[in-house]
Amino acid sequence: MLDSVALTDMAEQVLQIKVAISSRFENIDLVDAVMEAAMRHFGFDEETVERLGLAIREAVANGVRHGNRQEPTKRVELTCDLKQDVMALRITDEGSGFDVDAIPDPLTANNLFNPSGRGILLMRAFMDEVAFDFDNNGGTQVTLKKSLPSPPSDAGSEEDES
Amino acid sequence: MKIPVRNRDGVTILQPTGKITIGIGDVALRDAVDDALAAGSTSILVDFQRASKMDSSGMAELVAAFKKVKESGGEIKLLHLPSNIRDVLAITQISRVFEIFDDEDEAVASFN
Repeated sequence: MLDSVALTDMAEQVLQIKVAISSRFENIDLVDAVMEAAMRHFGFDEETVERLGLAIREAVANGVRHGNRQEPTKRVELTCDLKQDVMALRITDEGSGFDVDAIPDPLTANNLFNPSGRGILLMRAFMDEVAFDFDNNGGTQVTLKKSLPSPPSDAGSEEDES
Repeated sequence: MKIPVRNRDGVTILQPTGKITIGIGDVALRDAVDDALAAGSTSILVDFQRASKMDSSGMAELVAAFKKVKESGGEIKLLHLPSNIRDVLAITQISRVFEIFDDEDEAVASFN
């Protein structure tokens, strides 16, 4: 009689990824590469990986450019938590924060040629939840959440194969 | 990074490669458009066949290019948009301001 293989209980599996970069534009590609690989592993299809990757890239780029003003001694940190059926990301910088409501809506005719506002638009378009919080020192924390595709690609079949 | 440029029937064709994203690809696009305008070109076609992705910084340069070229009395149009870039240009509604082509012959002919 074959021993049955114990399948990981996805409901109890916890996985965390942390990436920290100094505030240089070229480092954004590294975060992008790590997260795209991770999201493929989580079972997102290529189109979704592309979209979510762009949303994450925008959050990290905002931290590098607007938050930390490209000061290489300041870090942008990304933490990705995978719990049950949700991918939750937290992106923090060491800047002085900003007024989310003051960001112009890039979709109005007057703002179509305005350079800013599209990063947040893309985050909101592609993620299920987007939130901005500011710590006591003013640093920005962006929270991005996305439900995992179901069923997870690497989960075992629920059928009884005994 | 310098964007390859060629001319066809009076149209300046720019062909960015890889990522048109913050810090490198966006600046390269801006420089290529500025160089084309400085050289007197009024018909500019950006061919995205070899472009892999575009972020909001690339999009900001694209709309800035549209404005600059228009102010110079010229036209700038887009060719061969990969589906992912087409997707984000639609979401940001940037695609509303540009003429977009899938065929180079048709795109070049449209300037005349």
